Amino acid sequence: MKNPFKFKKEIVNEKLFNNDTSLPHSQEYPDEEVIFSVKNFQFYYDNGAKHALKDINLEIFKRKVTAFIGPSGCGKSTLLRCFNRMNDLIDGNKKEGEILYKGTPIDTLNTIQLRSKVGMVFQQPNPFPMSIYNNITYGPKCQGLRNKKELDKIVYESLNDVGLYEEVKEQISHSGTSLSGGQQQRLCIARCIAMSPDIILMDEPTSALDPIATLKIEELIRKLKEKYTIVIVTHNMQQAARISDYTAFFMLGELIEFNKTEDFFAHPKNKKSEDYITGKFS
Amino acid sequence: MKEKNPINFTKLIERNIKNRKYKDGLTNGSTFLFSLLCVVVLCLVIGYVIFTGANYLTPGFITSNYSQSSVALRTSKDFVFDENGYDYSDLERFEDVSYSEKWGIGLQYGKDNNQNNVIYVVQISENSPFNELVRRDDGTNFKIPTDMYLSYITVQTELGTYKTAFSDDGIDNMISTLDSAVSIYDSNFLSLGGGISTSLITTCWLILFTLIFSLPLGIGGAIYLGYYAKDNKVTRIIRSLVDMSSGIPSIIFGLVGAAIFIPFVGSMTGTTGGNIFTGALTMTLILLPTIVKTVEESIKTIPKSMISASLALGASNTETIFKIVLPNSIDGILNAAILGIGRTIGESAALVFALGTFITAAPSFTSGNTTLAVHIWYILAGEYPAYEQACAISIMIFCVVVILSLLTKLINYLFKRKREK
Repeated sequence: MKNPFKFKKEIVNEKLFNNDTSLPHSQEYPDEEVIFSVKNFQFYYDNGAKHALKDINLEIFKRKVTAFIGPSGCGKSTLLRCFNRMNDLIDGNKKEGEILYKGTPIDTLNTIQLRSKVGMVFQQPNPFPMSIYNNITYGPKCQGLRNKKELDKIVYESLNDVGLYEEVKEQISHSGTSLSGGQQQRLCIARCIAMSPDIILMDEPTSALDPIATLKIEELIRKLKEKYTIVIVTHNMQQAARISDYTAFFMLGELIEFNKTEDFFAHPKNKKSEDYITGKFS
Repeated sequence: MKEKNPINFTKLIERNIKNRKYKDGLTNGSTFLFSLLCVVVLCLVIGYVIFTGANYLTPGFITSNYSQSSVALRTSKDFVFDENGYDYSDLERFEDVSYSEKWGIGLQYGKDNNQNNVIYVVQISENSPFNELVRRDDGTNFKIPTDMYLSYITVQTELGTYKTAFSDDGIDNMISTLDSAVSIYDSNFLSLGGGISTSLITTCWLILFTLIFSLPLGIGGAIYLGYYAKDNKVTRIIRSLVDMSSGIPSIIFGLVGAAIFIPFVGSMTGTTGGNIFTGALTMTLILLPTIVKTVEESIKTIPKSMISASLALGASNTETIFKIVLPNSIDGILNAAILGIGRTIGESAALVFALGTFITAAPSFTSGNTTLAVHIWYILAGEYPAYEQACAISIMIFCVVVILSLLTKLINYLFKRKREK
């Protein structure tokens, strides 16, 4: 009879072995400063029944735009939501390996600490049904900031940064839900940068918007890159090519390729990446 | 194999069409008939209650006490009637008021709470001896209150004999008796009895305390079930228990109230028997499932993305609940409160035990009281059931329930419009 424990041990050993041989991307790109590093990360849904992320090793570089692309269900959104531990809210999740935020494992950080440093913009614009002012001051107020002058300054700067100030300065006390879709999404970005985070995670931020609003958001991302690190999940390969510095290509829960965006689209290293780019499958 | 004959549908349909017509007509007719029957029965019930009770639903009925208080008055012992000494020219004369020129008072018919004719003293001249009547028991001066009617009067005539005039015999008899008198030996004034003021006020207090107890508990439960609880066996059991407990007959809750809350509140405050607090605690038990369900439904309609956005901004669960979840489920909370008020007004069985059936002179927090619904039970349970008054109370309860349900509709409409904006 086979000993099941022995079998498990072998897997563990194999993993340790993998860990030793995996090459951190920072060695390939020595100029970049690393903010997030993902090491041998595994993620499961439904108490381990669904293996969503398989042995991911990845690094996110400071003040760069990293795009996650790949077919639906490849785990790119899952990984994104792991960065600010939003996946912790899902019942029956299980993870192995670790994600380091500036060298600290994120599981040792308080979620509130982590999430105030790692902002998130969602697929659907989701402003709170309260005034624009209160939408932006929501985060700072939760952290205990009460000074009216400072709050005013934050509101002005955040709205200015996303280019919304001129458009809404007359209606700052109106409900955030009264804006158009594109404006709502920019309000959500403003709400996010009001916390002055290090990183902004964007989960398909333009998929619910029209082309003009999409262009505005893309412009905004290019501008925000100077101050913030951005990770963006997108279905749109052209968008990834237009705005990102680095591209990570996922398939079936595995990281297939991580590369500079121009290299990724011009000379993909992997056959699967090439097939995906050329539209052999989607 | 034999070739099958093709079915001739045209013929079949023609033959069937009459048959079907009858069947359809029967179904439609019976459906119509039954719904009509429902409407008719409902109209009959409401109509009966309104026609029987409407006349009895007077301001006096609502504002007066259930128990009747009386006062007996007479002229003082050293009273001497001075026939020419009084000047009653200050009285303004009305057509429907009868005046006793000798005594300087105006009498008028009014109704008591049983809709019988009674006589009120509506006007008293400044110089009238009626201002100097004293109580028969202690001889102190007593000013006749305007909300008391004259039940009977016994006077001493010039011949020294006594003569009594009753309210039922009419105003004319009363006036002629008074005009033949030299002094008043006995007069009996009664307040309007049979009113519902105490029950009404007690009902209001009961609603207030029930909401104070039940809303925080119910909202707390709803937040747990709608926000925190994971979808597992325990949650499902809790949820089905909540569903089930809304089907438990209220008299069982009344039993629990009497067996647990009365001793519990008694040990804390030293009261014996039911009072408003034991009633409110029992009503809280009855209302909790409704409140939990209503608020939970409302919490569940809040988009998940809004809660995620709040958490992603670094807000804690508590902050998310107080800033996002509760403000956005305020319609559910209001609906739950209104449902609770309606249920509290209509509840009778449980409160018979938990609150009591004592119709007191004034609302009290420490002793037994009664609500409007139990008041109905009380006046019907006696030897002479007072259907008219019961119907009058029913009209009040109807009105409150209708107003509350309209209010619910209005709140839902307003919030729906706000959401769609």
